[in-house]
Amino acid sequence: MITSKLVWFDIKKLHVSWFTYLSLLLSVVPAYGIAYAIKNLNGPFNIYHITSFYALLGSILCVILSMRLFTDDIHNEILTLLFNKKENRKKYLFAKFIGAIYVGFLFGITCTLVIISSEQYLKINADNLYLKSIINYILFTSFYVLLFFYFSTFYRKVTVLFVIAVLSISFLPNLIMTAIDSKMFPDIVVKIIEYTPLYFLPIKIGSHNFTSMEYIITLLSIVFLFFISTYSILRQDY
Amino acid sequence: MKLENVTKKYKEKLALKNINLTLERGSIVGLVGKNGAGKTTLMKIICGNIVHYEGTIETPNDSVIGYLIEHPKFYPNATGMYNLIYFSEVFMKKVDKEYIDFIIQSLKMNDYINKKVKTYSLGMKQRLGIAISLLKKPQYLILDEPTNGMDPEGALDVLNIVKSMGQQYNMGILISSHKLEDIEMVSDTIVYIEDGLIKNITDKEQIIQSGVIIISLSKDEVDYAHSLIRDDVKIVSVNEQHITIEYIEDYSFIIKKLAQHNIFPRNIEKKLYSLKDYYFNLSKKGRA
Repeated sequence: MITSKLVWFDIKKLHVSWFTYLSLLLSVVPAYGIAYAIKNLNGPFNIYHITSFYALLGSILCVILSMRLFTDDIHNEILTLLFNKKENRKKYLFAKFIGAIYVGFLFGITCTLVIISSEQYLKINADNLYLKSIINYILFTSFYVLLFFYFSTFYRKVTVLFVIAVLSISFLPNLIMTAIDSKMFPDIVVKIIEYTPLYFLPIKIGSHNFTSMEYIITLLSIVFLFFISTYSILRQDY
Repeated sequence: MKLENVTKKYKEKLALKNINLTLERGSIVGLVGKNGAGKTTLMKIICGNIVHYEGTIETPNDSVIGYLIEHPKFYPNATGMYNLIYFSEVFMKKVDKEYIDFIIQSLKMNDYINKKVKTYSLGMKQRLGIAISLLKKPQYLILDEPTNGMDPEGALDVLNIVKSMGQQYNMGILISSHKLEDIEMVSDTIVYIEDGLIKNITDKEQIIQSGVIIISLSKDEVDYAHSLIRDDVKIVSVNEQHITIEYIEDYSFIIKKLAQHNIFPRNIEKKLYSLKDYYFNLSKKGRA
């Protein structure tokens, strides 16, 4: 199997799919909506509100879009054609990881374009977010795609995977936050929860204010997920 | 390709037990057995889809295995041509467009290859699945129910193509089907599998040259005739008016011997076995 060809087909597929453009459009619309509110309604908002509104759907759609790169193969049982050698299974995972990075890059660059155009429109300066948004979306997408790829190695109901993905990005952090606020956990547990990517990634992807520690944890989690996904994919019967 | 002591367990259930099988290049092995006998599991193990099993599979270095297991797999929203290009590009450094065209023409897919696969009939999908399995110019070809959903004419056509491509490219082919006439048509060797065990491996020629000869006699002659010939031939069964013996090419000496003792059979019927008879005989033995 040739990894680069697999990646190339995925990128081509992304670019000819209407869902990619719809996802980007749906992410951009709330951000521009809030930019309009700042300009014309004198709303008490700043550039972080624009990026947060972009992340409202953008964070979910970038994960869904990149998950489709492998869920289509699960749904159509293509994996049985591709997984005829252990080496091919590894290559497949790597190709999908690259695909996820590419989707993260697309959403990151779109976020940067939203920031740049908002700067022009609102006459404000937010150039510190240009590169950050690209890096953050790449890390965000990579983490969630690997997490759900890992789940998919032993649970292959695609619709359920999507539902869990959406819930874990949109509801899980709020649920955890409510639990933390209720003071039911000791401080040490709260600290651990706060440094869990499933908690801080969805919360901070809008404001892009990750700490260095959170970057390190995210990177380590991505490496860990990559390895356990490889381990799992090599041991599954298809 | 050599399989040695291949065993597969699903939790506590043994799906395959000590399978020993050799698939030579240039030969076609037909795999027959009931549903759940272990045919698909065996094929999936050979193709590398199942990784948890005991035993060994030895294949010559860098052997390429093409396969179609259970039902054809493809991207339904793409065209047949996209699927062929996709799988050849993903698996091969250099795509042989002429070879792809050759497969399309051989399998008579020209009329619909540029249409979306979701619009295909089951038979068309099956042809596409076979085309995908042939893309890598495999040394071994594993086909599970390749003629599913095809009309008899189409099935015959496809099997002839597979057979001739197998000869042309010196492929070792393992084929399973519930349509025994398909297996009978293409296979050199028949493997009968039951409850995860290989119960019988026989050359097809041996099967179709086997059978019985039924000698019809009058009631009072049966016992005497039986005593006369029982040392010369293998008796299959004896009843009130018939003696059934195992098939032999030249049975004239029996007739002569009976005639010398004034026994003249009313009728002599040769009954050659087909693969169907072979299958049902083995299946009956299994039940017994």
